[in-house]
Amino acid sequence: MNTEPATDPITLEIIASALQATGDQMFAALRRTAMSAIIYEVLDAGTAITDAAGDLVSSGAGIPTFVAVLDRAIKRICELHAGGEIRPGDVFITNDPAYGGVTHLNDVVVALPVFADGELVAWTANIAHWNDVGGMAPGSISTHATEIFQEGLRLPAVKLLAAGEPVRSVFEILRANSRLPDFLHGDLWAGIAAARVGERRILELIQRYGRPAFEQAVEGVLAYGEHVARQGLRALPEGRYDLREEQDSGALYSVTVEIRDGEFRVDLRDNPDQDPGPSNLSRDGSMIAAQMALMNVIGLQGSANAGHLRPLTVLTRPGSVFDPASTAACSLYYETRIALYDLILRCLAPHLSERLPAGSFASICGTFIGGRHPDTGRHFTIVEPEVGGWGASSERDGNSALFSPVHGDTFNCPAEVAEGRYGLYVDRLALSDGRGGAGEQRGGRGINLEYRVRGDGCFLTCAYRRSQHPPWSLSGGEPGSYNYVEVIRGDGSRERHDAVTALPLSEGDLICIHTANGGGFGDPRQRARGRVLDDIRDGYVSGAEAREVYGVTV
Amino acid sequence: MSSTQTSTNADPITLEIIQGSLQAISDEMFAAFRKTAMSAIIYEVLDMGTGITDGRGNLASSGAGIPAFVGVLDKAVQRILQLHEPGDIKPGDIYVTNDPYYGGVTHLNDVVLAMPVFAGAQLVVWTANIAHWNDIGGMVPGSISNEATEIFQEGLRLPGVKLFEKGQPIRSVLEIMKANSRLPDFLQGDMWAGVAAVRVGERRTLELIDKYGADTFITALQSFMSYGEQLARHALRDLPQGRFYLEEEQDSGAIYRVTVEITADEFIVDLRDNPDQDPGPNNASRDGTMVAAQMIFMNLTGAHASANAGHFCPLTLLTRPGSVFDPNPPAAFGTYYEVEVRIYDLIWRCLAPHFDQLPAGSFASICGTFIGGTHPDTGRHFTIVEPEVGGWGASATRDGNSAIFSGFHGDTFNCPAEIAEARYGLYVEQLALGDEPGGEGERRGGKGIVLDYRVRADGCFLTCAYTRNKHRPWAVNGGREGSPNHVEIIRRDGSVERHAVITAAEVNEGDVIRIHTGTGGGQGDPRRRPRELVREDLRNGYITEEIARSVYELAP
Repeated sequence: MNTEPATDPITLEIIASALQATGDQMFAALRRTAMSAIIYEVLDAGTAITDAAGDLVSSGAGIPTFVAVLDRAIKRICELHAGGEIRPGDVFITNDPAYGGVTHLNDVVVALPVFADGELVAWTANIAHWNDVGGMAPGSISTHATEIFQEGLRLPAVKLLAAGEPVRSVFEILRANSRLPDFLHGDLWAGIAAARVGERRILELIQRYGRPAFEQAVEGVLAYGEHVARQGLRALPEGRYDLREEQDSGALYSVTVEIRDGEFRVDLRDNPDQDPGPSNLSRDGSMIAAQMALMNVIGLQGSANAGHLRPLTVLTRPGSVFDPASTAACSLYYETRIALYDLILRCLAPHLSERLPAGSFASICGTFIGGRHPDTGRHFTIVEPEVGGWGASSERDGNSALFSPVHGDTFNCPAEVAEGRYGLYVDRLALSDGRGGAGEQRGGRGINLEYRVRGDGCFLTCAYRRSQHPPWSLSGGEPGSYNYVEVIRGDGSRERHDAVTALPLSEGDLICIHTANGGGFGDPRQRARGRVLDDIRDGYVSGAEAREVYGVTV
Repeated sequence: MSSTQTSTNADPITLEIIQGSLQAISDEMFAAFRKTAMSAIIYEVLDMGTGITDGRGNLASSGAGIPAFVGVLDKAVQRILQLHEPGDIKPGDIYVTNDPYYGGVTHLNDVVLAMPVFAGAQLVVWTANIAHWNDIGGMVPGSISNEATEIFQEGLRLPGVKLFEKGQPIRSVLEIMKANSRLPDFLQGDMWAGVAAVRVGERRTLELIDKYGADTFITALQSFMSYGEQLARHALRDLPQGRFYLEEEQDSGAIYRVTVEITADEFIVDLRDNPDQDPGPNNASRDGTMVAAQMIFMNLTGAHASANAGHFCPLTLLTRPGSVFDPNPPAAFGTYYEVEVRIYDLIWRCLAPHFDQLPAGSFASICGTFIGGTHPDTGRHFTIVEPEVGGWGASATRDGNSAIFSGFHGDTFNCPAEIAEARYGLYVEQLALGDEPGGEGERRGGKGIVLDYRVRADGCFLTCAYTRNKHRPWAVNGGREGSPNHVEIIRRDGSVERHAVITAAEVNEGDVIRIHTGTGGGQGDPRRRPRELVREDLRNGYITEEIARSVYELAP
C-alpha cells in the first residue's frame, strides 16, 4: 500500500471522479438486481457516498432529492449507534423520518460503513421505493392516514447485517410485514449488493492511492463544492424576498428567502401547524427542498455534495407542516416537498427571471392502482409518478412530458411492461390538448394517459396538487392547466378526482390521468407569428387558441 | 400419546414432586410477570398466561392465567420449532411471536415470549408466556379495529423470531418493536417483564433438573402426560356417546354450525361446515379454534390440574381452510376473541341439553372495551383496553354467578376504579349489577353489570365489539333468555346512542359511556322457582315487582 500522501491535483481529481463513477456503478448494480419495476424501470431510487461523518461526497444517478436523504440517514445512524456499535460488515436500514429516513416509510435506506485498516473511512448507501411496507392501505400510502403507525413498518435505523451476517429476525420481520414479501426480499438484497459494490470500489481506491490521498480528495471535493456555491451566490442580486401562496387545500404557505454575503437563508417558521393527515414534510425533507432550490439558483451542473450546501440555513418551527412531530403521518410528504420547492422558486423567479423558468406542473402525481392480475391471479400494485409540463423560460418553451424537477433521472414505465406486470391495458398516452401555459415562450405540455381496468375489485389512490391552482406564469404569460384524474365508468359516467384513497374500480372502467401544462413566459401576443403557425401545424395550439390568445389568424 | 416410560428408577413420589414443581414454576413465572409488568392490563387485569412445554412443545403443565392463553403457548412453541433449525435454537435464546400465521394463535396484541431450556445439549423444556400489549401499531390506537380487513392493518407482525440470542437482546428487534408502538415505554416495560418471567422459569427448571437429574425430569414430564391421557380417556367413557349438532345465527347474521361426536375413545369437533373467512377482523385461527375446543373438553372431562398435551389426545378438531375458523392469509384477527368465545359457547350450547353438568348460556362475550385520548391531568395519551364482567347461566343446581369474566377468561380481574381514574383520566361514576330483565328461571341467570365512565377531555374515542347483542344468552329447560350486551353513549346534551360494535366513536368532556353486560340464561320454568327465593330476589333488588308478578307469577 502506498503511504506517501498524493497531493498532486491530478490524482485528487482522479479519485474524485472515481467516487462519482462509483456512485453511478452502485446505481447500475441496484437497477440491474432490483425485483420491482418501480426501481428498475422507473428508477425511483438513488445512491450516494459520504465521508465517515456522513457528509455527502458523491451521488449516483437517480432522484436528486433522494440523494440528499442519504447523508442525513447516515448522520442519524452515527448518532444512534455511537460508542463502537458500528463495525466492519454491518449494514443498517432506516425508513422513518424520525430516524434519518427523511421521506416516508416506503423509501428504504440501506447504508454500509466502509472500513480501511479497522477505521471507518466512508459510507455507501442507497434508497429505493419499496412497493409495500405494510400499513393500513395496500402500497402503504393512504390519504386517510393520521399517524405514522398507519403507514407501515417503521425501521428505526437498525442493523440489518451484523459483521457480514444477516440478522435473521430483522429479515423475517421485514418479510412478514409486507404484502409483497418476495419483492421486498429481492429489492432488499439489490440494495445490499449495491452498497457492497460501492464498498469494494472505495477500498480499491484506498488500496491504490492510500488513505491520506483518499481523505484529501474527499476534503477537496467538499471544499470545492462550497467555493462554487458561495461564488454562485455572490453573483446573485442580494435581497430579501417573501411569498405567501394558497395551496389546493386552502392552506397558506409562506417563505422568506434572504441572499446575502454568499449565504442563502430560507425562513419557513411562519407556516401552518402540522397536517392532521399525511401531508407533512420532515425538517430534513424541508432542508432538501431548500437545497434543490439553492442548486437551481446557482446553476450547478453535476451532482451536489455537502460542500455546496454549507451556505444554506433553513429555519423551521417545530410542530409545523415543515417540521412536524415524530408521529405525524408523512406518506404524502412528496407533494408537500414539491410544494415547498415550487414556493421557493416562485418567490425568487420574478427577481431571477433570467435563471429561473415559470412554474411547472409541480406535482409528483403519485398514482397507485392495485388489484388482482386477471392473467396470473396474483395481487399487483402500480406505484408511479406521472410526467407533465415544465414552465417556459425567458429563452425557450418549457419541456413537455417530463417528470417533476424533484424527480430528475427517472423514467416512466413502458406500456409493455405495465401491461405485462399489472394486468391493465394502456389505451392511450398522448400530450395534453388542454389549454394553458400560453406565452411569448409557451409552457410545456402535460399528458393524457389512459389505463383500462381488466378485472373487478381494483382500486385507485392518488393525491395530486396543482389541481385547483394552476402552474404559475412569469412576465405576463398565462398560467398552465391542471393535474387531475378522471374515471370513466363502464356506464359512461365520469368522476373527477385529485385526492382519493382506494376508489373501487371494476372491469372496463377507464382511468384518465391528466397532467398540467407548465406556465408561460411573456405576453402570448409577443410570440413570433411563425412559431405560432408551427405550433398550429404541430398540434400544440388550436386555430381558435391562436386567434383568441396569440392574436394570430391563419 | 404413547406412554414410553424410560428406564429410570424414579419413584412415584419424586415424579409427583417434579409435577407439583412444574405447576409452581408456572405460578412463579406468573407472579414475576405480574410484579414487573408496566401496563395495568397485565398487572391488574391479568390479561396474560404462563406455561411450560416439553422440548417438542407439548403442554407439560396447566400453567397459570387465562386458560385460553395457556392453550396458545404449546402451539406457539411448536411453530417456533418448525421455523428454526434445531441447531439454531440455543441456550439463552428467547423467541417472540404474535402472529396467528406464525404460532401467535390469537391477534397481534397478544405477544408470546418463549425460551428453550437445555439440560446439557438436550432441549428439554420451553418456558413461555403471553400477554396483551396495549399498542402494537396498526391503523388505530390500541391496534384493534373493527374496520381492519388485512392483518397488515393490525400492527407489527412478529413472525416467531429470536428476540434474544445467547442471552443478549437483539437490539435491532427491540428498536423495531419500540418504534412501531404508540406506547413504546409500556411496550418496553412489559417486554422486559415477560423476559424476566421466562428466565425465572428457566432458572427453576434448571434447579429441578440439577436436583433430580435430566432423565428423571424427562420421565416425570412423560408420566404426567400419560396420566393426563388416562384421566381424559377415563372421563370420556363416562360421557354420553353420540353425535350432536347445532346451528346458531350470530349477531352478524352468519350461521355457525358444529357437530360433536363422542365415542368411547374420541371426541371429535367438526367445524368444517361454516362460513368463509370474515372480510373484517372476526376470524379465529385454526389454533385458536383448537383452544376453544380444548376448553370445552376440559369442562367436560374435569381434572383441572391435568390440562396437558396428554389430556387432549382424544380430541380431534376438523376445520375447513378458508373458513372463519381456519382463515387464510391475510385475514385480519383483531376481534378473534369474540369468534373464539362464540365457538366455545356454540359447542357448549350444542352439548348442554345432553350434559347435566353444563349450565345455561352466559353473557359469553369478552365485551372488549377500548377508550383512549389525552389524559386531562398529565396531557399524555392513555388507552383503556379491558374486558368486562357479566352474568353466567343458571345450572340445574344453582343460580348463575353475577359479574364475573367469561369462561374463556378464567383468572383475570377487573381494573379497580381508583387505578382506572388515575391512569386513564376518566371518572368511574357507577359500577352496579345490571337492572335489565332476563335470565329468569327456576334457577336464575347471574346478573351482568352497568358501568359508567364519564369522559373528562375532548377528543377521546370509544371502540368496542360485543356479541350476544341481538341474540341473547340462551336458556335451558324452559328458563328465560338473558339480557343483551351493549354500550350507550349519553352525550352531554342528553342524547343517547346505543352500540354493540363501533370503531373510534368520538366522545368528549362530559359524555358518559355506559356499559351494559348481559344477564345469563335461566334454567327451568320461573314459575317453579321456590317462592321464598323469589321474595328474596325482590328484597335484594335482583328483580322488580313487575317481573316477580308477571314472570315468576308471585302472588302479591
